[in-house]
Amino acid sequence: MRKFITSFFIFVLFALFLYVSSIFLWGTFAPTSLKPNLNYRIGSKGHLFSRIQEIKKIDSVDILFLGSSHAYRGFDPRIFTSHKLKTFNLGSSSQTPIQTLLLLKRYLDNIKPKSIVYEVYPETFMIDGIESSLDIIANDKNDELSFKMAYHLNHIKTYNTLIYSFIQDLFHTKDSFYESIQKKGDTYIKGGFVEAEMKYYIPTSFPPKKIIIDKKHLSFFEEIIHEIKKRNIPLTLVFAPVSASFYTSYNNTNYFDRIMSSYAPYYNFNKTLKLEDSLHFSDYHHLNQTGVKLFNEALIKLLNK
Amino acid sequence: MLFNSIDFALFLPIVFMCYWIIPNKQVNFQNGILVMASYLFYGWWDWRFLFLIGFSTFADYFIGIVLAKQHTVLLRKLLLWTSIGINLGLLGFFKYYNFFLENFSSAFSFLGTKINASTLNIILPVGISFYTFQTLSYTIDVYRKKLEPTKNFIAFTAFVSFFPQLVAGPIERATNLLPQFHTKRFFNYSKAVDGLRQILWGLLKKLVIADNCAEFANQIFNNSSELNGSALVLGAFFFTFQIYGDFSGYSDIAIGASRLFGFNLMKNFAFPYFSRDVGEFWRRWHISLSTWFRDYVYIPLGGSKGSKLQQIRNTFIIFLVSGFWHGANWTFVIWGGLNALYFLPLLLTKNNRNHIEIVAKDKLFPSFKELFSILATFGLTVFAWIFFRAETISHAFKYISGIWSTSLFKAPNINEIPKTLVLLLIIGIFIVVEWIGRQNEYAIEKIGLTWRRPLRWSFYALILFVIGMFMQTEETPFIYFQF
Repeated sequence: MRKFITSFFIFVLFALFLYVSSIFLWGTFAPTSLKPNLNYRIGSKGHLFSRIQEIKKIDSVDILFLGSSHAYRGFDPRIFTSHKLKTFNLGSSSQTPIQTLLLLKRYLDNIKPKSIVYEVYPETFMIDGIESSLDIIANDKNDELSFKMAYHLNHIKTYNTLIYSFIQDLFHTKDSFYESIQKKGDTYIKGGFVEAEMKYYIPTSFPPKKIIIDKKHLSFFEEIIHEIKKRNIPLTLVFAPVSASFYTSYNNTNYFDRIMSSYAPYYNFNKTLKLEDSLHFSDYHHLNQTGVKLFNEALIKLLNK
Repeated sequence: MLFNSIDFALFLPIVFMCYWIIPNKQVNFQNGILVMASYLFYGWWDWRFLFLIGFSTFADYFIGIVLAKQHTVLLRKLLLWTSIGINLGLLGFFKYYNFFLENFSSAFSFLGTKINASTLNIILPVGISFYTFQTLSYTIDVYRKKLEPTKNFIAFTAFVSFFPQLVAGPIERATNLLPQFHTKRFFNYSKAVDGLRQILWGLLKKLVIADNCAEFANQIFNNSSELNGSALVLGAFFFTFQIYGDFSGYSDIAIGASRLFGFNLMKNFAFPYFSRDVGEFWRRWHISLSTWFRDYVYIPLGGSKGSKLQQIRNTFIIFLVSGFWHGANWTFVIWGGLNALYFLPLLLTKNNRNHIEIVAKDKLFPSFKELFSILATFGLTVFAWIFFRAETISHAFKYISGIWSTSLFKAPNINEIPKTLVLLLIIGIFIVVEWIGRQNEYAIEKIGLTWRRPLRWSFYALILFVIGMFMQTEETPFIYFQF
């Protein structure tokens, strides 16, 4: 029995070493189609790498934006600067509360925001958060928080990508990576914003849908609120505009509004801002630049109140 | 609790440690731990199911004891049929109630009489078909005086609820498994290592082969009306490997886990897709169920003895009942009937036991004749699986008519062609490994045993790597849980 347990533990260590080495070799040399459970996306869509590089050099802002792609495509720092507000956008693609919390813990105390605007989108409370975790693992440093995130998500893709990214960190390969400012119609704007090329959405219909908030996400969300409140930073929650055709497919937005408004001042711009699907959106849930201007002006007016 | 879950990965070592830590390896304590672990394992799905399995255990335990004391044929028969009635009654209610109700209702409305029958929202208790058959084997064997009834209630409860094989078999015979609960079990290093190796191979079959095939098979079967013939063939092919990987993978994990506790379960799969005829296929596929039906239904009916007409009748009964055992749907009955049609010519020409040994024994490659026979049998099996997988009979027929069109010779019109090719490559490698290890209990049983330890361990680590890199990320329950 003792021999069995000893051998087993030695084998586990041996297998772990080989697994990590194989992940590195396979991740480096195998074609993408042969690594379905390893998705290392440095410099991926959304310019997270550039955003992370920039935030490391910032020591104070008036407003910090958090949230999904609606945040980094929806809050244009140039508009806020014209109102004498220095902002930074820490949004990332499909960012769920666990990633928001990780980024906050990493950068909140360095960036010292005077206030925070957190874009809350129902879908980010319903998805698994894997996509966003891979984005952050590949484009930011990896530390204890990354391992905690991987543990909470408990997904093989996150584990494998974290192992691979961690080895990349050891060899400092990320240091030499350069991300182009313009990529596939997207332009990175200083302050964390990504301006998409001008497009117009052709409205379509969506089947009815119910918002069901994942309890796991909600507990991380509460932790975010706690972290912000304990630093006495004013927080505003915002449901950014999505196309009316999509928004009306949700049949319980009141439920979402009720929950969000119980945590902090909350504004659902889908109810207050009149936008046209075919004029102000580039797709069913992202504003185009015309829409961004209207949305940001409305938000600034609200924040100034 | 699923075998392919984190819960089980924690549960198994904890139970393992508690089990072997017992001083003097006292059988009753070990059995007690297995009972507690098994009830926890089963209750993880739904604690209400525990009452059902508990009732079944009580009933068969007492019937077994009383049965052995009776000498009058009538009373013995009465007790046997009470046990059969209780077990099949529970199975019938939970599994087939709605099916029979709907079919009676349809039959009467066809005759012009409308029946107001409302179905019940019945949850099918996981594994009921498996443990019901296992307990039935106990009572029948006691009735046939092949087995002395046990007076040890803990041992009997452990036999009925033994967690590795509780929910999807192998369906053990009381004559094989029950005595093992009465014997002192000592830890055996080689046996435990072998168990781990079999678990590893079972996990690969389930997580890499079955679950990845499931993704494509589900897509293709769910959208079959929009796909061309070649895509539909691919769908049937993927389902063929899904069901094999899923079920034989489960059996490997079950047998391997049992070995960790010092038990030997019966072999459930013996490389069925290398069979040269359907008779051989049925000796290699779900062996524990096939032999159960053979011993408790087919042989009592007369088996292959008697007139040709009786042989045909017996063959159809066994295959139709076996099909129906899989689920309350006519598709399973048709699947069973189709296999009976495949099997009958072999039986009637007395060619059903031509291939007892594994194909190309001690050879590297099969002969052309053997290869042709394997491919032909495989083709028939794939065709039959269409009925098994289809939602309804009309779905199956539409699926088949979709295959027989000129689009069969066009490229498959499915999404994600590169992903499909990768999966086909993985299946190809899997078939090669299975071929190499086909003379053993499971494919990797003997692979690398003579190698030096670092090389052998590297091989196992490679399997772990393949699982980690290619496993399907959606947690998919085992198909046979629904049966």
